[in-house]
Amino acid sequence: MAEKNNKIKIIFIINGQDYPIESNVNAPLMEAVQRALAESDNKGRPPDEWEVRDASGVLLEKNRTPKDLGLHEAVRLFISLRVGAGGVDQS
Amino acid sequence: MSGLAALTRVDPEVSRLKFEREVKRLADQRADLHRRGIFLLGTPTYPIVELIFVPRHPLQVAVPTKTPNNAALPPGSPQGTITMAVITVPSIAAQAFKARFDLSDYDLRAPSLEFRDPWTDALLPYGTMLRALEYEKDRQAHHVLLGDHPTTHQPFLCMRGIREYHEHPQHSGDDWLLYRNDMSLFSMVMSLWRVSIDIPIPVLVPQPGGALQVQWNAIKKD
Repeated sequence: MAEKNNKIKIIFIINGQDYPIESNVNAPLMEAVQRALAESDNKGRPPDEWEVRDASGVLLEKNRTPKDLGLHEAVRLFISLRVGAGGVDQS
Repeated sequence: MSGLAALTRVDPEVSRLKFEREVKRLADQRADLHRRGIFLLGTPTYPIVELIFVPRHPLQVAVPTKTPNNAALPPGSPQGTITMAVITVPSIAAQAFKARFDLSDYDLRAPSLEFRDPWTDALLPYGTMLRALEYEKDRQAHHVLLGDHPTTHQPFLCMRGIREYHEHPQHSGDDWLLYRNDMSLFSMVMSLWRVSIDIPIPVLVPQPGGALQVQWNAIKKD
């Protein structure tokens, strides 16, 4: 992990726009997520209505730290509103 | 013309500006889209945006294998029970499709989504299409591509952010206007990728009498 003073830059993509946020690798990811949401002016919903996924589409736990999650400098993470779907259950 | 067509309610210039903003965001994220097998077609012209989605999970085939007589089976299993093994066919995957988003009246109305054949541009009939699956820990896998919308009578994606969902009589209480500030065409494209490309895996399952059935399994990825 390329880090300076325990900090890395995380690039959050929210609704197709990049929001680079500097984060402490030992602080919960949620802290950086909240700053990215504020910067993108998405302040109207509680943070738990948003989800964070990595480039492979894997859901990340926001209470874990970048270090725990193995995130590296300039990693790209995707923040989106939890989708919510109708549909029918698989039999 | 779509069955959800209606009189224009937003000043077309306003809608066009918002359309251009959405298209620019898709273009800006082109590299991330390409990594997922999503390709923006041509230069979109208001109000239509078309993208090709290329499936990546190889086909799996369930192959019957005769269980040895001394194999440990669940209690009550008859002698000679047939079990199935799954093999992967790396050279075959589901068919690519074209997603055609219509942003007329955006963003007073959500984008409309049609599924089309990338070769002929014809609407895809439900019987020949892939299946889209969402997976949630609590609800497990569920189908979100349904065959017959009550208004358009076409296959539709039953997910928040899509016009056919919000204008479905069963979702009249979940209005698009509650979400439009928090969603974008980009986020819908990513959601469509998740449910149509990332989660479902096609499995060919032989049936008694020699028939074959395509079953869609979900990767348990919440």
